[in-house]
Amino acid sequence: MNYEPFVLERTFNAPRALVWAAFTQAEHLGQWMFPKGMSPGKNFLDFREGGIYHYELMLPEGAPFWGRWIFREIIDQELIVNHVSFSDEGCGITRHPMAPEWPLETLSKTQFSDSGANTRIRLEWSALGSDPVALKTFDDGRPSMTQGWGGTMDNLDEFLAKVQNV
Amino acid sequence: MAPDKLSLIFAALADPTRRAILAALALGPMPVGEIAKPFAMSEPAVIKHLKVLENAGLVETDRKGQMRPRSLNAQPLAEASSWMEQYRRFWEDSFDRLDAYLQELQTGETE
Repeated sequence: MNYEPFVLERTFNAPRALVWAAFTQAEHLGQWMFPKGMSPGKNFLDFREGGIYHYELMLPEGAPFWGRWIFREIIDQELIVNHVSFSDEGCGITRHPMAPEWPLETLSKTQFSDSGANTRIRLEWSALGSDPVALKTFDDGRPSMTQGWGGTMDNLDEFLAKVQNV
Repeated sequence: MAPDKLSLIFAALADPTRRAILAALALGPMPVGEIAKPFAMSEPAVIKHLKVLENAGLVETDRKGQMRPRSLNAQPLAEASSWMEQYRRFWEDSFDRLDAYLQELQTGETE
């Protein structure tokens, strides 16, 4: 699905080669890529198109979560396109353990560029439907989708405020 | 595979006509004829959009009402917003950590 994604941009005070390494080497990824309140567990990375990143996330108590990326497109030091989903120890695809209505997969696109001596990251993501009805729905809407919807959280915020406070 | 509820919602919201319909319904329930008025499209075309919205749980039909008025159900919007907010928070937290980690790598600290 390719309806307009949501965007997060950030500039890091480091050269692009180093930021790229932090995104593409298992020992680096395990140091920073995990949600607040959790700690990283085991991880496995096979960084190539068609390869995976499979990682364990530990809660202070209870069973661990697993996450899985599948790399769809890689351009050295420029672009990573991957599918993101929850997973299990056997690297299958699962729903969010606590929110089964969440999209089964998220499409994530990370772009790397120079910003002076620093590195700019542009992260885009969108829900990746596994459901043919959703895909069909999307295709039906495609011609009109180039206008409007600026593609940021702010747009939805504004829209939600409008819809709910009229 | 069961449908992704949120994917249906996002797909429904991806179209400006459908967002306009939702904004109109935020004013109150109305029959299809009235919903269609501001748009330069046929009633069947509007009904198609309404079906997509209904499928995503964003619009409901009052089948007892004489004109079968449609109304807005805003709850799924809150779910969609929550998903994006959690995803955003995850990445912002991770990027904060990455920022600090990159500094460590560059200054040769091993903590």
